[in-house]
Parts: sequence; structure tokens; C-alpha cells
Amino acid sequence: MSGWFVNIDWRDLGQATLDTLAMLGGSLLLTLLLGLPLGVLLFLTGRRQLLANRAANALLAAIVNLLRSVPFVILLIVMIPLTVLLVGTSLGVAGAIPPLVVGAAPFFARLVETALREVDRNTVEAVQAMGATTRQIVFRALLPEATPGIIAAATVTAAALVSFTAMAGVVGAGGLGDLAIRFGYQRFQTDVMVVTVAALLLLVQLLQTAGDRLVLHFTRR
Amino acid sequence: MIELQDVHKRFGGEAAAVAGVSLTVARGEIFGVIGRSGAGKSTLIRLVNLLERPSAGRVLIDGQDVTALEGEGLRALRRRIGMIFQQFGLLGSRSVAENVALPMKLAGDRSGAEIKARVAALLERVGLADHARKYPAQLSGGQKQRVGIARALATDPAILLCDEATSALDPETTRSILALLDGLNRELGLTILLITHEMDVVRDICDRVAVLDRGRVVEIGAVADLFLKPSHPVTRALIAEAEHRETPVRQAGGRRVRVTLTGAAAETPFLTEATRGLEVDLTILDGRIGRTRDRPYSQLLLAVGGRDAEQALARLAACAELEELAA
Ligand SMILES: Nc1ncnc2c1ncn2[C@@H]1O[C@H](COP(=O)(O)OP(=O)(O)O)[C@@H](O)[C@H]1O
Ligand SMILES: [Mg+2]
Repeated sequence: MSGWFVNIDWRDLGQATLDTLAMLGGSLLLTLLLGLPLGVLLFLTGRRQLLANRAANALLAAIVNLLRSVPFVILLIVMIPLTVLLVGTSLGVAGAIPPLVVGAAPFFARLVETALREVDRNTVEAVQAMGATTRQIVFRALLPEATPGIIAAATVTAAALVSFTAMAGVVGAGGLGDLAIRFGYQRFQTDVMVVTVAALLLLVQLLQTAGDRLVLHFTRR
Repeated sequence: MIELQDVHKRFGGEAAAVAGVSLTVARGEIFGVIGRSGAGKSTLIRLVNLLERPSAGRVLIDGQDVTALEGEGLRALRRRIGMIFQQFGLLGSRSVAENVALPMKLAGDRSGAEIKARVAALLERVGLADHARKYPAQLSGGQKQRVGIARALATDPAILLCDEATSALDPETTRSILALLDGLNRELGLTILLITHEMDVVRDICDRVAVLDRGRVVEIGAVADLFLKPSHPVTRALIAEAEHRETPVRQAGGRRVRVTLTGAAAETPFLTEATRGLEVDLTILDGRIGRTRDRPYSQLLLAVGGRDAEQALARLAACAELEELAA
């Protein structure tokens, strides 16, 4: 070894970064699209809420809790048949997205539910007392009021997805995690390990900063 | 205007929060419901616009039984009934003007220009014309409640429900909000049902009042009557709290009488008139002088002695309500 960074193939690193970003972007988008309605339903069917329904709430909660308690590595493996069914392969960026979404959406849904619970009950009631439909209450009051909380939830979810993508690397998804494991860990190329971890750290930092800014933007004081 | 017929509300297996309340609020009246925390006041007021469904009994608005209304019928009813809250219930994500516009936007029956004009007029009326573009977090408590009031009036309701609307405000702000409600009642003929735990609020703006205790109405009547001659222990306690008074008094010889005058008579020199030319010893042991919504009152606890005591008492009885108390 003649110095630092000798083992690094910068083109590989670039490709891995792009793969990670693709996995992250795709899975985050789908996670938000699936998790948001799931979180809203969890909230609305809860006790004393607008669509209070014990059975429906218990069922949703059971599904969410089950998916959240399965370790992500297990989820990656267990989901292979379903993943193949959905996207035709369990490998690469496409193959990583279904397990990433299934792992992250319930987590995001719970955070959304919590953000909705933070909305002042008086406010919801006031809108209800105006003669709003349930739909209007959700879209004109609950979601706008909870927007900063939901963005914060999305930020936390995005950061969690970054580490999930790294894990997905283990089962052939590619990306920065794959690079870290194949070269950094299995071939003892410490510099590869350091650079990939630094890239992942940078990504999480950027997400967090962007998220914080958005939260601030949507908080009216 | 609002009629509750033997309404009950029970939550799960607990004791009923509202246990058989019947009362009628007349058109154009300010009706108060007072009671301690947990008495069931909020539950009761929420039964009126069916935020809470009665477990039994009927709710009539304008003679129409609304108890079983659902869907669009229920929403139309709610547009005819405004509501304001202790914690204001404003949307923090919307500006003052947007908050006031919201009920009209949800109803969807007014044009944008109409809504804009109405928002401006409403904000003008509650004294917030300059704050239209601010967000609720930038306002004081009193200003927030003014926005709440403007918003509650946006769909031009005939009824306003106030759930502890001044309980989060300091005394001076409370008075200014009450003055606003009083003015709206007089100008628009708005029927107001308000609930509170403060006797001061009832005394200052209500025409009639019901005292609620453990889900039941224990006393009901015109404010001055109830305020000056409370019969239920809960009513007495609420009044004593409002006036910061322990039961009196000084001691003095003679007969003890409670003299009560309301209306114009309360503002006459009734004591000198009753004792002119007589040899009487008059001691004031306790007294309450003030006014309810539109009636001044004087209520004095007197010890009356001396040679002509009988005659003075007879004169007092002629102009005031007299109640003799055991010495
Ligand atoms: N949604 C609810 N579920 C269960 N119990 C309730 C609910 N709302 C009110 N209660 C109960 O009903 C009683 C009366 O409450 P409330 O009407 O809020 O009284 P107040 O407004 O006079 O303080 C209390 O014991 C309260 O715990
Ligand atoms: Mg209450």
C-alpha cells in the first residue's frame, strides 16, 4: 500500500453513489405515497377520532407493528419471491425498492400518525363545527396543520432509508453499501470503507439540512 | 331557538356526563350554563351542534328535530351554528384572513370576491382589520379569540356557541371579548349559548342562566334572580368564589333583614327614604352593589333597631324585597 485511496476506483464509487441515490429516491417516493395514507388511516380510526373503528385500527396497527418488528435484513430475504413477482428481479436497484418500501412505509406511517395527534383537537373540532366533511377536515385542516411534523417525519424516514439501502447492498442491490461491504469489509480496503461511509454521512447530512429548512419554511410564527 | 329535551350523554361505562337536561334558549337571548369543571358543560354544548350525539333525548333547533341528522343535513345545520373555543381552535398554518374565509370556502356557496369582502367586513367588526395577513402565532390571546369570533360568524349563523371562550384570557381582555359578544347579540340578534365556570361572565352578559352539576341542571332562571337569591349550594359557592367573600358579617343589635332591589329602584336613595323622620339605628352588615347585563341591583344586609324600626321596615318592604333573617 503506497498511500490512501489507492484502492478506490472513482468510477465505481460514482456508479455506486448513483445507485444509492436511485434506490433512495425511488423508495422514498413510494414510502411517502404509501405511508402517508396509512398514517392518516391509523390516526382517523383511532379512539375518539373522526372514523373511530376499533377493528380497523387494530388490524392496521397489527400490520404496521409486524412489519416494523421484522429486522430489515430478514425482510430483504423473506421478500425475495414477492420482489421478483413485482419487479421481475430481486437484484439491483429495482430489486431493492420493494423491500425498502415495505420496511420504511410502516415506520413513516407511525410517525405521520404521531404528527397528526399533535394537531390541536380544538382546531379539528372547530373545522368540524363549520360543517366540513371528513375529507375536508383531512385535507384542509389536519394535513396542513401537521405539515411541519410530516416533513420532519419524512426526513427521519429518508435518513433511515439511507442505512437500509446500505444493508440492501448485502443482497446484491449495489450502491454504496455494497461497495463498503465487498471492498471495505471483505477485502480489508479500509480506504474504500472510509470513503463510502463518508459519502453516506454526507447524504444523511444533506437530507437532514433540507428537511430542517422545509420544516422551518412551513412553520408559521 | 335551541331546545334540549331530556338529553343524556354517556361515554362508555362511566357515569353520564349529561344526565337528563331540558332547557330552552329563546331567539336573541344570551343564555349561560355555569358549573364546575367536569360538570358536563362542554359535553352539553357539543350536543347542540351534534359534535356529540345524545345517548337519549332530543335536540331541536328552530323547532326542527335535528337529533338524527347525518351527512349534508348535519353539515348544513352546523353552518347555521357558529362555535368558539377556550383554546381558539385557529389553524396555525393559515393567516387570519384565511382562517375567517375557511368556513365559506368549505361551504362553497360564495364567490371569491364575495368571500374577500365578507372577510374584510368581519375583521373590521372584530377590530382586526390591520391583522389580516398575520398568522395566529403572532397574535395575543384576545386577538385570537376575535379571529375565532369572526370565523364563527362567517357563514352568517343565527346561533353562536361559546365553550369557555374567555377562560384563557385575563380579566381585561375577558371584558372586551364579552363586550364584543354583547354588541353582536344586540346588533345581529345573534342567539348565544355560552358555558363558563365564572359567575362574573354570567353576571356581565347573560340574560338567563342554568347551573349544571354532575350532568344535571340544579337551578335555572333570570340572572338577577339566580344571582341575588341562589337556592342551590353549588350556585352559592360559585357566587361566593366570584365575589371573593366568606359568609359575612359584622354583628349589631336589632332585626336582621336582607333588602334586595333591582332595576331603577336599586339606584334610588332608598335607605334615607325609608328612615326619613324616624328614630332608627341602621347598620349595614354586608352589601352587594352592581349590575347584571342590563339591570342594576343593590342587596344589603341590615340590622335595624331603635324606636321606629317597625315603621322603617314597613317602608322598605314597600319599595324593596325584604327577607327577615334570624338574629
Ligand atoms: N369524549 C369523551 N370520552 C369519555 N369521557 C368524556 C368525554 N368527554 C367528556 N368526558 C367526561 O365527561 C365528563 C364531563 O366533561 P365535560 O363536559 O368536559 O365537563 P366540563 O366542560 O364541565 O368541564 C367528565 O367526567 C369527562 O371526563
Ligand atoms: Mg369544558
